Amino acid sequence: MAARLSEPRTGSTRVLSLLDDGRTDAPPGILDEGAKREIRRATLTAVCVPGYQVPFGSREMPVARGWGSGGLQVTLGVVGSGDVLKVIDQGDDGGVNATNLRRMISSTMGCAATTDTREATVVQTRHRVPEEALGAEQIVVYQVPVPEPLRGVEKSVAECARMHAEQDYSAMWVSLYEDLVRNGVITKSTGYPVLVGGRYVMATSPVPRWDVPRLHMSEHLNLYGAGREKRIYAIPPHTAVEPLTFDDVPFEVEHIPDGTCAYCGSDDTFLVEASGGQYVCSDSDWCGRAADGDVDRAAHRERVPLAWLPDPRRRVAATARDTAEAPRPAAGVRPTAAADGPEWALRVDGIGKVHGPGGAAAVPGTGPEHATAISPATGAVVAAWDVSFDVAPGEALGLIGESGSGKSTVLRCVIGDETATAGSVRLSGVDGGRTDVLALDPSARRGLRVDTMAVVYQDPAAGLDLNVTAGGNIAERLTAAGWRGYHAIRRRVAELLDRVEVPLSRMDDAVGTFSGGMRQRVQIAKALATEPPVLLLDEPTTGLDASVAAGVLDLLRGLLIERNVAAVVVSHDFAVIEALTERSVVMQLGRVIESGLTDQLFRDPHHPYTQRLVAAARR
Amino acid sequence: MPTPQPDRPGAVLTVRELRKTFTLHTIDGRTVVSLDGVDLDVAAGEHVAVAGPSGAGKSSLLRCIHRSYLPDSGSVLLHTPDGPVELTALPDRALARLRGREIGYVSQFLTPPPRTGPLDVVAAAARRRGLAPAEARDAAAESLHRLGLDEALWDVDCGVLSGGERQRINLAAGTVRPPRLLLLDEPVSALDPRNRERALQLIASLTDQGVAVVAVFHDLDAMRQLATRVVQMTDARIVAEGPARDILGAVA
Amino acid sequence: MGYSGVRGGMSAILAAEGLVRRARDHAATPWASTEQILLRFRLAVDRIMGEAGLYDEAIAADAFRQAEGDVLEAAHLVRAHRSTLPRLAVSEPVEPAEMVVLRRIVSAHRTPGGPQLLGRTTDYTGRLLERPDGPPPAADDAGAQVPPERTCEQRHPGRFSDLLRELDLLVEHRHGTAADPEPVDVAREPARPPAPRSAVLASMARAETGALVGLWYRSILGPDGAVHEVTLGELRHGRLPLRVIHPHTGNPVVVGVFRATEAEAIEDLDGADEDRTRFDIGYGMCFGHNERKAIAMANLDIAHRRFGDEGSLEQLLLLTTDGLDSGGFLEHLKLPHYVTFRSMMDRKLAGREARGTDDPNPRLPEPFGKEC
Repeated sequence: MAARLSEPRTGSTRVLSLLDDGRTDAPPGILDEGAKREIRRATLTAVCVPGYQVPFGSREMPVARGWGSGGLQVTLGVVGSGDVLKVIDQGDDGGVNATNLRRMISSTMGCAATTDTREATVVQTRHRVPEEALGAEQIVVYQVPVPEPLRGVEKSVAECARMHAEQDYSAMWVSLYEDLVRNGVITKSTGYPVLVGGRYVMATSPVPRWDVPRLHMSEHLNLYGAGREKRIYAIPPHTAVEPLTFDDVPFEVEHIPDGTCAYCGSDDTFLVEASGGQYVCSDSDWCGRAADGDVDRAAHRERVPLAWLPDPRRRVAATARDTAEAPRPAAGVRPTAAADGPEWALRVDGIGKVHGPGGAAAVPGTGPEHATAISPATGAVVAAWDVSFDVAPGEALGLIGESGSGKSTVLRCVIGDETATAGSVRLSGVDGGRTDVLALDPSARRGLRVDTMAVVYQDPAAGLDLNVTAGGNIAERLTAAGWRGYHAIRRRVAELLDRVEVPLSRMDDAVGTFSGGMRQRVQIAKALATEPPVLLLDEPTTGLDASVAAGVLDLLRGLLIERNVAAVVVSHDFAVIEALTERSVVMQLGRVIESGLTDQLFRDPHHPYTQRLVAAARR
Repeated sequence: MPTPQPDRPGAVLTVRELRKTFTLHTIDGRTVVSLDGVDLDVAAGEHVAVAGPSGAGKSSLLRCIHRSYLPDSGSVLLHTPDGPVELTALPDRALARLRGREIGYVSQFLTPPPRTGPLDVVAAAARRRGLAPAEARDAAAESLHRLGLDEALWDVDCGVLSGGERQRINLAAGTVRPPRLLLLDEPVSALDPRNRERALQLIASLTDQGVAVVAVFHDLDAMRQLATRVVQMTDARIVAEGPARDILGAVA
Repeated sequence: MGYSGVRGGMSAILAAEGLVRRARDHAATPWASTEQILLRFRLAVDRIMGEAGLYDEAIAADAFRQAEGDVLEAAHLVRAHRSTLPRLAVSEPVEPAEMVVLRRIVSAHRTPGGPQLLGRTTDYTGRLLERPDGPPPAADDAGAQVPPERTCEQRHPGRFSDLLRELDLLVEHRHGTAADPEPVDVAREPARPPAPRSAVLASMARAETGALVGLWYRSILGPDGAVHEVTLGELRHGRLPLRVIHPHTGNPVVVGVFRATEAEAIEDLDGADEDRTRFDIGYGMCFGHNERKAIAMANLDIAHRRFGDEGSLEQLLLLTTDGLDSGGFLEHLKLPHYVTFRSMMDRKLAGREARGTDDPNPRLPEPFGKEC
């Protein structure tokens, strides 16, 4: 970091000034010096990691949380007595909130105040970027009510943090997809989410969409302070800022057809309603100077986002017909059965799961020969122990046993929904099968589920969001895998739904309105969306009516035959296992008691337990 | 146990000392002996019919060869272009693949998967024997045609078809793109005389093409018509072996 | 004058401030002195100190007067004041056993070790409105009685939970501090889930009393609630010494005394994975005399220990109970939002245009057709 900052590019002047941590030129005022140092440290971190929300020990200010307490702290942290301050609210210097903050800052910090954007070195703003050009010597400080761009799609703070850390923004993409399906346009108005520096999704404070393109590769430094939520973030100069939208859906700024400012006559500024059905510039400084002829209108026209004006011909309803081949993402290098690779796609070795104390020490004295899964030594439940199998591409393996036999536990350990006590799981698609995927970090394991190892759960609600449309649920998987073309996603979704025999007329209905069998079909379509080499099916037809279950079973059988997928099918029902698999593993009380060809297990079961299962299936 | 050797040129199947006992845990753990040391050799183009009373072990022999029953001991060698393969010891996955390519199995109890059309069922079998999708469909169509299944039924759910129609679908699936070894367990029991005759002709033509067939037929006529050799089983053993007319006697 | 959008905001602000000052500071009644507020509005002052996280009775009293009795506003004034103060030292941990009790109730035991000491409370006084237009007659003899000299045991009674501990009836947590060695200072570090227990306790200690009680009640009666009411093992109000390390001698020295309310909530463990042979204890402590807050805190502490990692309770405790946060965010709705609203109107009209209809819930034509 130091090396980079020692050779500043144009525009980083204000960033360098932040490094001057020993500044004592400001009187203590409304924030003590220690707190200001903390704020400067957080601000520097924010500059180093563009778009990342840096936590800071936000102090209480003499203004309410929500009235700019975050912006105020950032300004107090960066401003010195030599600075010239401008404060605007809605673009206006004269509003009561702006006036109040200006007097508070300039009186405590001893700095000059201005309304002329050109003179200001620090602009504290609420909801606007000034229309005037901003340069390398200027900082814009934004008051941020809600810094979390994902709040609308995820209410859990911990989960939002995870999504940022793993750059897992598919929920956001699904919300854009759903918006387009329902409304034909993206209806997100202000605070439009942007991708900063190709890494973090960030909330734009909220400024109108009109101002968003101004943030891209800007000359000035943008600092965002959220006092109530205790976050500071930044867009440094010369940073790429892309509004989130699909490749074939243009971002749109606000537009009032034929709208001009009643005061200055501008037709290329952000206009707001005024009395009498008229419009005026929201930026009062620009408007006043434009009326006086004291602005460079030509240069301004170059800056403003006229390229992003709404164009009905480029909206999805119009473009659906003329994008015959929208691009799909470049298919990742799929490691098919390499000549020197393993013949299996998935290999599970010695998986064990102990609930309770003792770990491996709890195992002795449990299992079928002891007729219990409860450890006599520690009281722990040995849900599974020493379970091994592998599956090859084009092959389906059954895991069969009664409830409590441990088969679903094994599957959950393989998926990563549970942490295995012992054993390893290898995928030929991951490092040629040399890496134990159980040892990967949670983020990498979650990544595997996008396109390497898909799951179909017994309960469709576990694999689907019932409030989201069938298309949106499948789009979630596709966007996670990098699909960014709206029409390409629609077409792929239609293909998949057609294959699983869900009527396309239901594509845009919330899955919650579907019957159980139909939900399960959507879940299967989602699992297959990225054509993962490994498919795990956990009681895929349990809980469905017999006739519906039979239909889903047929679908799965057809899919397993036509695709070269390696499948593991968990079921208590021998009929399901017989219909779908060639080989099977029989589990009882956490152990494998018999394995072999499925037809042989069915016709010639050796273990008493297997004979009982078969007898039950023949009834 | 000495390594079994094929007895004659063109050998496809060599069975030695095959034993199978069932332990029925759900019925007091009682045991039933099904095969008690069976030897059998079948060559390419040979049709071996297994005769004997009910319970003699005929179906068990076919299933132990196919390994839907796991033999207790003994040897089942399938001679392939890559050399002999011991089926009793072959790993499950390899056996599943070998079955798909080399062994056809048709049983009176087999039912084609419901809610799938006959053409798809037979084409899937052809694909397992290595045909490309388009070729597989052509081969399936030809096979169904030969067995006289009305073309109007080719995409109807198998589940709604009659017993005779299902049996022909199974036969078509077992014989499409003929395998090296064909195991037939009462394959024509539900057919009317005309279709039965078609089916028998098909089986005879397979023998002519060099397929090795081991078959269990209920009726002596079929055996006389098709078998190049008959083995007679009683009480889990082979008790006699020879040309059909020697074992079964002359037509009454 | 202008709310916004018009020059002259400053004169409007000054005029508004003038109205407040005239009515408040120059009302036709005697000035309410700091001492008067301290003596007559003790519970409001205590509540302000607790919600502000700053123990200074005089400052809290002045804030109460300036805020015209609005406790939340007063807490805001105190906290903003605190932001201007340097941090000179960090106190040593407080030992609750040192509390000199002014009041102490154990509802789980008839005769716990030490006294049931009612102290100063209106718990047992009929809630009858009195409307004297001047000081009521002097208190009778009973009130004037000089309390007898208290013994050491009466001033530092044993703790009911220690009794349970001796009987091996308590789940032991005291060794489990490895993950949370140093208490989180929520005034300096933003606490977000997952957070250590100390951060949750500190957040609750500063929470708005009503918010905390509301969250507690919602956890019991709300449709998503997982909490059941507990037995109160200990409720105390008393004085505690505050020590800091002397910068020269390195020894802890008492720099002041503060009042606090402390509560211990006994939970009857009944979960499948819980030790159902023992009780567990939730803990609450806050500045001043504020029993509702301490009891709610103790109950929510044990609920957080039991259910914190299952759902939303931790996020609710850390992020939704601060009065300045919730109040401030609500108040910000009064700020101008016409730029954002213009943008919203733009999207409403764009959606209408894209759908080509005013039908509020149209079915969009299938853009790709059936042939896909």
